Amino acid sequence: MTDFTADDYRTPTPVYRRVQINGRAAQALETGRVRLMITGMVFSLAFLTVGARLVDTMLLSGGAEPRAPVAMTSAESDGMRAEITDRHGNILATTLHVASAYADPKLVIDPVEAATKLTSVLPELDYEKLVADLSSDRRFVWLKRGLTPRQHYEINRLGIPGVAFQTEEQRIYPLGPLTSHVVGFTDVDGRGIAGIEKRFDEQLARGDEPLALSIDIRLQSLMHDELSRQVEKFDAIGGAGMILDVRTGEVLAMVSLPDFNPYTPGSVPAETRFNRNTLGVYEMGSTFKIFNTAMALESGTSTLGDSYDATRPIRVGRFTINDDHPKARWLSVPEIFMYSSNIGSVRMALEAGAERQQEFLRRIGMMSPSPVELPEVGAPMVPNPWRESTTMTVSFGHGIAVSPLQLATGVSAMVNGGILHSPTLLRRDPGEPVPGTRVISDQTSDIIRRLLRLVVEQGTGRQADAEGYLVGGKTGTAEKARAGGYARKSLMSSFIAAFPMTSPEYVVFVMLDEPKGIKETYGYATGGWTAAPVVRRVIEQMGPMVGIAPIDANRPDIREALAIDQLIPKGSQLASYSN
Amino acid sequence: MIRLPTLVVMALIAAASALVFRTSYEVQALEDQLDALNRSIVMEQESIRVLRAEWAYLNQPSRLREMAEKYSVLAPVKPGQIISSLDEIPMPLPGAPAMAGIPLPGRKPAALPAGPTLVADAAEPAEPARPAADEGRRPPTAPSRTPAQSFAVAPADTPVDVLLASFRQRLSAQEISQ
Repeated sequence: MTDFTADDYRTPTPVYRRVQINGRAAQALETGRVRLMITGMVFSLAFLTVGARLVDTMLLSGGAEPRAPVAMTSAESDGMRAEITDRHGNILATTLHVASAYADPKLVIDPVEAATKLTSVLPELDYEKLVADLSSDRRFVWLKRGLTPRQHYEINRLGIPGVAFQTEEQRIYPLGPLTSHVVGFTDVDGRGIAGIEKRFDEQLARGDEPLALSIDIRLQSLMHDELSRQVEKFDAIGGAGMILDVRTGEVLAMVSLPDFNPYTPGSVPAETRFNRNTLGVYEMGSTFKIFNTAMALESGTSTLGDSYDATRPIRVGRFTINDDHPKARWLSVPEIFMYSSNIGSVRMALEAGAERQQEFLRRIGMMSPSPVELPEVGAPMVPNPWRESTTMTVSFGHGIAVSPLQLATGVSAMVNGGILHSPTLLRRDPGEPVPGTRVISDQTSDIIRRLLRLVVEQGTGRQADAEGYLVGGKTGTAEKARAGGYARKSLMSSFIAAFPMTSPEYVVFVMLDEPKGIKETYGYATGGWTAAPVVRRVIEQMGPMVGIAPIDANRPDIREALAIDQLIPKGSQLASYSN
Repeated sequence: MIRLPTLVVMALIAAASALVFRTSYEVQALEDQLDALNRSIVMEQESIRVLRAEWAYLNQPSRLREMAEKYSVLAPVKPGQIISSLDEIPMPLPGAPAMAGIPLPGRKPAALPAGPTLVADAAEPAEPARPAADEGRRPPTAPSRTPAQSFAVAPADTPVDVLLASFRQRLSAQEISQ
């Protein structure tokens, strides 16, 4: 068509016209072909697309849900808040999916029938209210939240139109109030707002490994039972109890009474949620004499052979420091400890001096908040400035307020050979070395052990003597500070013990807040009468649990290992009278 | 027009597509199966969580103590009852009856606690000989004072959720539902 040869120019007449006409037709033809081609291309493109899509969907499963070729690996991978367990893996807190039933009253055909059916499965629902709810104009009514699997199934089987379910996550505390102060609780959105739940909120929310605490629920329950029995018996307003492993600093039991239901923390007063072991700071009273004696012996300002004048009370300004069991004579260092003489302790502290005293208390962690893994940790109340009168009162545990946990941690270091381990609520790996700092020498620790044993054998702590477990301990009875002085009748009665004294493994602390004297105790409410018996019963029962064999305390080798008079140099008492 | 190679190629294409479709359907079926499996794994995991929570609830130390007091004659071990080494056991005197009267440390043999101990068992009179006619009807040994007979715990097949229901009710059901 576009080829023009020489002939075309030579004979142009008819052919030329015909070609012209034909040319017009060819043009139309051309247009038609082009259109056809375009249409064809569009169609084949469409078909190709359809074909490609067919191949894609059928062979490559494009656009379908992504394949899930990997099976679920573990229960923890489901994104639920992680469990909290005790040291042996018993669950303290877990999260479950629970179904909650709700209704859309607009879709309920017969409210009366629906209510009848529902109350047959959920008898705790109020029939009248249910009928009213289901006949209302609202679009959403909760029927019951947190159904058991059986209730869920049975409601589902009733097949009531308009009733549906919603899955919710619910934090479960199978042991209820037993560990409420330690584990804490979460808010409605599952965020930890107290205790371990708060401190490890991020880690728990990530939902991987269960978090193993150092708590042993058997010991926790034991302490809880014995302590609550005593709180009731002495009509105390509260109590605190702890068991610590002296070699690792692990807290095996931590009970604060009164306790609360972790499902309804908001329904109790704030004092009930208050953890007396860590958040409360108290003037601990005579239990501080353990530190005072260790400080005096460690710094060398006193020796076991020294004696101090306890004949007369000491006057400081308008206060008089007196003894609860006045002997009105010179007392040796072991006697000061055994009879819990305030006067003797003051004299020992004055001889050592304020510098040494402060430095020692700082070293054993009495000046700073406990490093335990709880958000509820109280800062100790340390007097500032540190006057001479402070030195005097601190020697017998007044004028400085620390938390029971600080005290128990310090005492652990006094009896375990002199190593301070920071307290922890998380389980330590048995193989892993425990970090610690030496605060007193092994010799001083040995003397303290013998002194503590002496208190239980012959002194104020006789009621703590669990037969066969070589208990050593110290009573503490402090008057609670009130505005303008001390309240004579409101006591903080405590007892701190360690056992077995030949090589201490556990420290047991018990404190009662404002116990009232009863007839059985001749009206006394001191640590020796109220807290010490709890310690004895706890140790008697925990001994077999933790695998400590009872020993005959009268065996000659045991006697020798724990007797204090072996260490007192002969004739040295006379020399110290020059003091 | 249609030549042999074309036929062969067409046959091959048909065979290949058939194979591909078959494989594709097989894979789909397998994937459905995998989905179902994954779903049931998740369900099992849920149940495991529920059961673990229930286990923890049922193993509350206070509950175990209650049950032990109710159903068992055992009591917490007293220090005097524990023999920690062989040295604490004295050699038996010649002619002494076996097992009876081992002195427990820190305790006079006469002051043994009342209750079923080894000693008490041994002291029980042997069962009187029965007439031969009775042999067939009575069980060969009828333990006279086993505490097991007084056991009245929930049957082993009590459904989990029934137990869970009681668990929830006791842990303040109202609060959970509000």
